[in-house]
Amino acid sequence: MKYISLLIILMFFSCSSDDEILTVKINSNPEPITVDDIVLDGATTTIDWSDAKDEDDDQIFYKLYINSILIEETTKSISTTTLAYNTDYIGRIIATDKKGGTTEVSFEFSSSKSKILLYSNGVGALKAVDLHTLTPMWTTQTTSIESHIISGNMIYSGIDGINGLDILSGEIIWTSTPSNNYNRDYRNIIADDLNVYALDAGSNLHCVNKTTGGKMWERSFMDYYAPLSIDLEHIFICSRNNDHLYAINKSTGEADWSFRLESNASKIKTNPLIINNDIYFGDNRGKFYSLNKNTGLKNWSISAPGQYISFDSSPTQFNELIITGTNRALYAYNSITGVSKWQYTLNGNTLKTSPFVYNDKVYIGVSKNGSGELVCLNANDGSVVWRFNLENNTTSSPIVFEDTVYIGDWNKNMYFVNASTGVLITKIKSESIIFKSPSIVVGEGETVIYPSVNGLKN
Amino acid sequence: MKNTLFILLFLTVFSSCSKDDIAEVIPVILNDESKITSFKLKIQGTYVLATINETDKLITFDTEDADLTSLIPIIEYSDKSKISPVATLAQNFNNEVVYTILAENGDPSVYRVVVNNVSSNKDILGFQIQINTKIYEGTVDNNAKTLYVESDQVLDLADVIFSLPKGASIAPVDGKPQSFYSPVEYIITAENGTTATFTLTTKAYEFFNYNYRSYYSNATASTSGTSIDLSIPNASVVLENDQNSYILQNTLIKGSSVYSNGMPYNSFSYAFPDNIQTATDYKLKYLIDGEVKTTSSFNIDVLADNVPIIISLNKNLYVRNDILIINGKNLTDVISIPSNGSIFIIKKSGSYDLAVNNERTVLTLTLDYEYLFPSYFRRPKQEKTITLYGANGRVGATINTVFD
Repeated sequence: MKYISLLIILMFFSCSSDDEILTVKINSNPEPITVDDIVLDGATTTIDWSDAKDEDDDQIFYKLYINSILIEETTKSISTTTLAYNTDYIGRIIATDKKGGTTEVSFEFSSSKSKILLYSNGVGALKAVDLHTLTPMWTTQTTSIESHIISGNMIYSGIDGINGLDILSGEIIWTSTPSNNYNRDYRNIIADDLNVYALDAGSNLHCVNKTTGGKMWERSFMDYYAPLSIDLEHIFICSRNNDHLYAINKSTGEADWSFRLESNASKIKTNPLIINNDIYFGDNRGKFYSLNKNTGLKNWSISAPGQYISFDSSPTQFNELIITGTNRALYAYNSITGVSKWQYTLNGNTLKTSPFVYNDKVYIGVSKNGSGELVCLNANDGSVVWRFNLENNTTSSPIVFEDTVYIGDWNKNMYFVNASTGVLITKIKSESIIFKSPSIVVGEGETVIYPSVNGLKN
Repeated sequence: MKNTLFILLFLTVFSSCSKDDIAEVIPVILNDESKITSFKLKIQGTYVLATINETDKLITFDTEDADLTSLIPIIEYSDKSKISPVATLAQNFNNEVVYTILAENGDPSVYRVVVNNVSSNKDILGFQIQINTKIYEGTVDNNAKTLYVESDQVLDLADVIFSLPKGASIAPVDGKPQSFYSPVEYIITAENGTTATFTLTTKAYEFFNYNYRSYYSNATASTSGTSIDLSIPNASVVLENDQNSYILQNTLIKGSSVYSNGMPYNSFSYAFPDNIQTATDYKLKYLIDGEVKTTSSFNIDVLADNVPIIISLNKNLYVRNDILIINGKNLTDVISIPSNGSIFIIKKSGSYDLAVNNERTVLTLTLDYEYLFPSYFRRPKQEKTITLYGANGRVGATINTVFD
C-alpha cells in the first residue's frame, strides 16, 4: 500500500515539474445509432441503420436481434434476413467497440403482407402459391365441388366438417361439425363477421358461430345444390333443383321472401349479384332478373335472344352496367332499366366462366371445343382489346390482381397473363385439370380477390 | 520483489511524462465474456436450476402449477459484466423474460428465459349450452364432477361450450354427437396430461305446439310437452296474458313416456277457470316451486262469449243408423267422434247429414257410418267423447256416451 501512495506522489511531482499532465485516455461510447430503412421484399427483410460514430475511431461491432433472437453479428450497418409474413416484430441493435463502449436502438416493424394465390385442381387439391416468390406454399385436400370463403387468417373449407385453414400453412386451426349426418363435406361456404354459413352434403344450410363453432340454426333444402350470396341481413340461395330464389334471414334461418322464376321449369345455376338494394341473377332458360333484395319484388327481367340458352355466368358490375353471360354471349345490361348496352357473341364457342372487371376492362375465359382463350374486352363497349390462347377449354373464371390475370384451363395450367397487354408472364402446371377458379388473399384477409362466381366455384 | 515493483512503477511514471503533451492510453485488457452461467428460480419454496442452451442463448424451466407472476431469479454471470434488467428485480415469468449481459468490453449477449409451466388444473371453469341463438348458463360442481343445465326448449339443436383452464381440452367420452336427453360423460385433459371425467345432465322444458290452441271456455283443453310433469311436488301450470293470470286447477295427467332419443314426454288435460276472460294471447307457463321453467312459444285463444253448451243427448247407447240428437245452446256445425284410433271430424257433407236448427239448440246426425261403431271392428261397446267445434277449429264442449 505504501508503494502505491509513493507512486501517486511521484507521479504528481514528476509531471508538475514542467507543466506536462499525464492522462489516462478514457474510452468513448459509440454515438447513438438510428434505423434508417427497413426494406420488405416478400419474406426478405433488409434492415439498414446508421454507422455508430466513435470518437476513438474504434471498430464497431453490431449484433442485430429480432424478438430477442440473435439474427446477425456484423461490422456492417445493414443486415438481411427472412421473416414470416403478416407478423409484428421488435428489433434491437446493440453496438460495441469491444472496449467497454456500447450503444443500442430498439424498433418495431411489421413484416410483408403475404400475397397468396389459391386454386383447386380436379382431384380436390387446394394449392397455395406465394405470389412474392411464385413458389408453392402448401397443398391440402378439399372437396372438388366446394366453394370456400376467406375471412381473417383462415380459409373455410369443408372436408369432415367446416374447417378453418391457416392461410400461411394450410393447417386446420378451427373446425365445426354442425351436421348430424353429413359432415363428410360442405359444398358452399360463405361467412360474415360473426358466422359461417355452409351447405352440407345433405343440402342442409348451417349457421355456425365463428368464435365458438356452435350451431346457431339449420335449414333443410331438399336436394339443393345452391350457390350463395350474402348481405347484412340475408343469405340468398338459388337452387339448381328448384325454381326459387330464397332470402334466408341470417338471424333465424327462416325465409323472409322467395321469388319463383317466370320461365317454366327453370333453374338458377349461378350466384346472384347484390348491388345496393337490388339483386341480379339469370336462369337456365335465358332470362335475367333484377329484384329488390329487401322485398323480393321484381324490378325488371329480360330474355336473351335465341333457343336453348342459359345464364351460366355469374353477373358482375361495371359502373351502371351489369355484365353477365349466357353460354352463347356476354351482355352488358343497364342495372336500372335492363336495357342491353352491348353484347359480345361467341360465334359458336361457349362461355362457362364469369366475367371479371378491372380497370375499365372485362376479362372472360372462352372454350373452343378443345382449346380456349382468355379475352379482354373494353367494358364500355364490348370491343376486343386482346385475346390470349389457352391450351384447352376453360371453366375457370379469371381474376385480376396487380395488373395480372389469373385463369386455369383443362390442360392443368394456371396462367399468369399481363392484364394490359395479354402477354403471358408465367404459368404453373398442376397435376390435374383445373376447372375451378382462383382466388387471391393479401395479408390476413385484408384484401381478397374472388372470381365473380364467388360462392359457386372458387 | 517489492523493490523490483517499485523500480518498475517509477520507470513507468517517468517514461510516461517524458512525451511532449501527448496523452497515453494505458493498455487494458477487458473481459469479453458475456455469459449467464447459472439461473435459478424459487418455485414452491425450492430453488430450481434452469437449463441453459448457450448456442441459442435460451434458458428454460419445466414446471407444473407454479406461480410465476413475481419471482426474483438468482443469476450468475460473467465476471465484470453488467446485466439488464437488474437481477434483483422481480419478473413475471409467465411471459418470456429477456436479459442482456454486457461484457466488460461491451460485447453483448441476449438471453431469453422461457418457463414451460404446465397446469394440472382439470376444473371446468364454466359451461353453456346454446340452442338456436339462445344461451343457457350451466352450473359446475368440480368436486362431484357434475354439470347441470336447464333449458326452456328441446335439446335437439343444442351445442355445449366449455370454459377450461389454460392448455386443457375436453371431449365426450364416446366421441359421438351427443343427445343431451341422457347424461353425457366428458373427459377433460389437463395441460399436464392428467384427466377427469364429468357427467353433464340437462333438463329441458318445453310445451309442444302441435296441440289445439283455440278453445271455448267450457272446453277440456289438452297440451303436452317435455318435462311438463304435474306429478312432481309443487309443480303447476299457469295460463296468463298481460291482463289476467290463472293457475290451472282442474288438470288431469293423460300420459307420460320417453321418446326414442331419450326426451321425456308428458301430456295432460285441463279445464279453464269459470271466470276466464276472452283473449287470444294466453300463454302456458310451467312452474316448479314458483320458478317459471318454460313458457309456451304459442298462444292459447279462449272465447268465453256465446259459448256452445251441450245439455243432453237423446240416447244413452247408439247403434248404427241411430239418429244422434244433441240438445243445447249455441250449437256448432261441426262435431268430432273418435273411433278406431282416429278422430272423425263430422260436418254436413255428402257423407254426413249433420244439421243444426236456426235457434242452434238442436243438432241432428244420422249415424250411418259403420266405422264409428266398435261392433264393426268386432269390439265391445265403448264410451266415446263427442266434441263440438266452432269456426276455425275452435274446440268446445264435450259429452260422453256409448257406441255399440
